[in-house]
Amino acid sequence: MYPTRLKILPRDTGIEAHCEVLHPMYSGKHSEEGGPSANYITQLVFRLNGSIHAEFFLGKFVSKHPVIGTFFENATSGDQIEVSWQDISGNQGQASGTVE
Amino acid sequence: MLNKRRFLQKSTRWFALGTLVSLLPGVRTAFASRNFVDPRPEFASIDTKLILEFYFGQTEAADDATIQINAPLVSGSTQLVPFSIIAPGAEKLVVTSTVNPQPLILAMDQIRETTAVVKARARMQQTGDIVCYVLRNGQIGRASRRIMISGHWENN
Amino acid sequence: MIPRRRQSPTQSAALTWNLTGLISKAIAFVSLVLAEWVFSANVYAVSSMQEIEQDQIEFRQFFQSRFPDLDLEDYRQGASALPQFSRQRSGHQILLSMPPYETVVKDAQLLWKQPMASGATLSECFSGKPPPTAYPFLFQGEIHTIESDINNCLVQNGNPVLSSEDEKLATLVAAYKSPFRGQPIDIDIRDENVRALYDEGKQYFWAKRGQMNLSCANCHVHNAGNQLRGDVLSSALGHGAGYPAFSIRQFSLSETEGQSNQASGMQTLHQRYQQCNVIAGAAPLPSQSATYLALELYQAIMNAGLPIDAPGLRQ
Repeated sequence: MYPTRLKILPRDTGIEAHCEVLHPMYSGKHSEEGGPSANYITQLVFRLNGSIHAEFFLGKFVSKHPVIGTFFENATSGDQIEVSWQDISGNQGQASGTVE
Repeated sequence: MLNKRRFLQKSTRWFALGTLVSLLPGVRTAFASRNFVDPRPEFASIDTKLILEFYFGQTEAADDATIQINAPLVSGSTQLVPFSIIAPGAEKLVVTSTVNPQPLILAMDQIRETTAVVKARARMQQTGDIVCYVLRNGQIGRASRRIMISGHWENN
Repeated sequence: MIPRRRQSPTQSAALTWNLTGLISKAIAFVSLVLAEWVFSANVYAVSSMQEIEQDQIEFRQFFQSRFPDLDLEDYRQGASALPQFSRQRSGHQILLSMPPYETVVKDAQLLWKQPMASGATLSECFSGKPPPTAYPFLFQGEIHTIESDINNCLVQNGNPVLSSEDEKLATLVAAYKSPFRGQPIDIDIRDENVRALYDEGKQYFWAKRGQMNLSCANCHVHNAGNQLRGDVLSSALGHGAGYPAFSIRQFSLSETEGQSNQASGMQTLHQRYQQCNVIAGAAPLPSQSATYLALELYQAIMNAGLPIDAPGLRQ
């Protein structure tokens, strides 16, 4: 439903991965005045070769179209990086990429 | 014809009644709870100690110079405040702000104790600090950084 | 009561003489105004190429003396290149390490290859066109921008026109410009009609308007680099080089009552002109209007030689 992108950037000591989700991250502030009801990403998980590397818990104070970046110290070329997320209304999304 | 004294008496009475009603327990919270409240207690909490207790199991934090927070001195928007944090050897990491109604912005849990690098963009309601708590070797380290918000107030 | 005095014959003669003098003067004035209006094109000669080059040199020398540490290329980044922006710059650098416009521009690049109603694609439409560094240009008496060419192409192939407020237009232009990042702006000014439009744009840039009695130059030349409340005023040299740009302000419009804000934040140059006019208390003109096109041309000619940096990041 919301497009998810994973960007893998080689750094000197490892791999940096950025996940961008085009998610509106509605805070629900104006839901009772006819505004959009609260809908934001609550959990975002980075996996390296299938095992969990880092788990993020997000609240409504993360801005719209969130970009979350993290670092993989021990990733080498050929490794598979996956990211998956879920929001408060049950939507899910994922993206994956390979370290070059 | 409007009797000024009677009008003053009446309005004062109503004002006093309203003030008394608002002092009753639960009335103000009922009005305040029109805003959406996060179902997770750590995100709904307004007390940083509760958040630290939830994630780290302890609340005593000491300043730690090894945690680097990179953020702008001035941000032109309340909705897009970028920051990046580098914390070597971190197990868990919590990012809070001192000005939002609920302090917790995001929490991170690493499986291995390696250098934690977190990049994100936050909402901050006004000028205030971004405070980062890091759990390392069973102890909590703290670092903070002040960000001035020059943008106009946004309702979020 | 004071008795009314009768006019003597000599007095009335003087009055009629004065009246005829007045009438003749009025006729002379009106005819002069008319003549000026009719022959105005001939009275004010169009700037020559040498004059425009002299304008460019003077414009650049002004900014060089104002910001001695900056190179010409640095101006393409807008206000963020100026030394007064230092307190906000680290925020821009963090944002640019994960560019907020990247995803939408990549999506728009796919749209350029997508067939329209007639089967043709946008990129086929643009195959014979000059590169984005040569825009805006004059062809068959009409001034062309990338925005207008996209809309012409859409109409020719049976698609509805994109309105200027539609973010899709800004992202399409950004997708077209992004492969040319770093190439210098090069506008052809040999045509006299182009130079006439340059004069019109120059007039708009330097003339005062609006409730605050401000011209574009008041802020972006004479006060460039100064603080306007929380913001730093950008320098006029480099305006337009980074557009369409990701506007943080447009991105962060609040979720007001009854509205959801799905804006991706991409903004065309003319939308920025409109915002600027509104801030200065002047009525904004419609996008792609003749005056804004002339202004865009004037600024592009002033930026000649600067590399384009679209999509850019703007406050």
